[in-house]
Amino acid sequence: MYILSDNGRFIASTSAKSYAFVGKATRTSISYTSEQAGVGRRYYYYLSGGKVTHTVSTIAASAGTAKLQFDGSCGSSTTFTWSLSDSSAIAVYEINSAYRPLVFVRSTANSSGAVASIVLVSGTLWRITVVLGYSARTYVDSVELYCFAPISDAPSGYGIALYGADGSVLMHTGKKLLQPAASVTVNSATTDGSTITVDYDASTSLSGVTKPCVLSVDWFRASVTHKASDLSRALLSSSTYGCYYSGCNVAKLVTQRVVSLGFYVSGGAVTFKAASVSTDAPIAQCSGGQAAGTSLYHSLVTTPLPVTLPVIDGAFYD
Amino acid sequence: MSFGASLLTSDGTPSFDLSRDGYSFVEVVSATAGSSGSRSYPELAGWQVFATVVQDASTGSVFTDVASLTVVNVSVSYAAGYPAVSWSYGTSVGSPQPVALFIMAH
Repeated sequence: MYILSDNGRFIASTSAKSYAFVGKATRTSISYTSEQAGVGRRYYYYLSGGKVTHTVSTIAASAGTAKLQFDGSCGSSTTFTWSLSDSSAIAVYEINSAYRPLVFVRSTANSSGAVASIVLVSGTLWRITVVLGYSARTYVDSVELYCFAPISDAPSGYGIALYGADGSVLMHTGKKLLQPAASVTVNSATTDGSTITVDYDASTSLSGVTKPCVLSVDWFRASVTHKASDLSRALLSSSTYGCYYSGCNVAKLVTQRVVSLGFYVSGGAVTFKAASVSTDAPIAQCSGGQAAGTSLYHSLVTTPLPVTLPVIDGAFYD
Repeated sequence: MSFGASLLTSDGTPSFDLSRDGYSFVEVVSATAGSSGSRSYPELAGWQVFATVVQDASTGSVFTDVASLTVVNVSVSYAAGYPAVSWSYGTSVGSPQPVALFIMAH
């Protein structure tokens, strides 16, 4: 038995379970990247036997100042100012579902979200980790997660239900079914190390969707490595500190970043929104014989593309 | 909806929209690191099958979970007259993590 749509394709059938709306996931915690534990660090450099070594200790994670201390023959210290960007966060959401949920994310012009992982915590409780990008913290609440899962419960009261040959409930009218209104196809992603370029096509039917939410799946990570030479030179400059570091005259600051994505959809147009987050604190390293510079290394890993992401109208499920 | 039946939930809102297709659940496959496999669905002959992936990371650190990406190469074929899905592990960023494959049909 089939329930067919206006165009003759099925909405539900007795051949497979239908996906149905479970609910919106509840945010249980949020960690702003400027407040990540370990992001603020103090670096101690020691000169011993003509070589510089360093140790790192964690300090209060907020913008401010940190002290760089030299030991050995240098015997001096200095204080430098550092700051951390505040445009992204990692949030944890939870939802109860008998099955692993599909998650559609509602992004806006000022905030975007991308699901990084979905993990079963216990029983039927799922933990959804989301990377958020935003223009101001007040906008993070506008990101919504619509969760769908196969129907698992029996109908109650009244309505119509479809059962499979094994007697299991496949669909009933007590639930709102998953019915994508449009789709976004991601064709390719590239990076030059500073920007992410994504080529994608959006379904023309997006114009009729009042509250678009895009299925969030994993399809790429970009990692970027910086040599923050300006800071390094200032900290280890022999002219400033009167120190000579034999075989070790450059300190690199390495920042590893992961970039995930969201899509903002409005008025029939789709805009790619990168949500980037630092996942490693700056690490001071001593490397001999290298000139300070602004070299930047990058890599991009994607799942095989293209990938088509369904879009739902969240208004239908509110 | 221009015509047809309308079925309502208990709060009086439509259970589905006759102008849109539905997506059915086929299964969720948990692919452990390094594994490969395939599934055939002869009972879904004539259907179109989709497969998407989400990390099933459980390192205990949300930051590590976010940093890690395990790529799973997924392909769908209809060579036998019905859909078949196969997958294999590709590259990884960070430590290889288990991956969940959502297999859907419509």
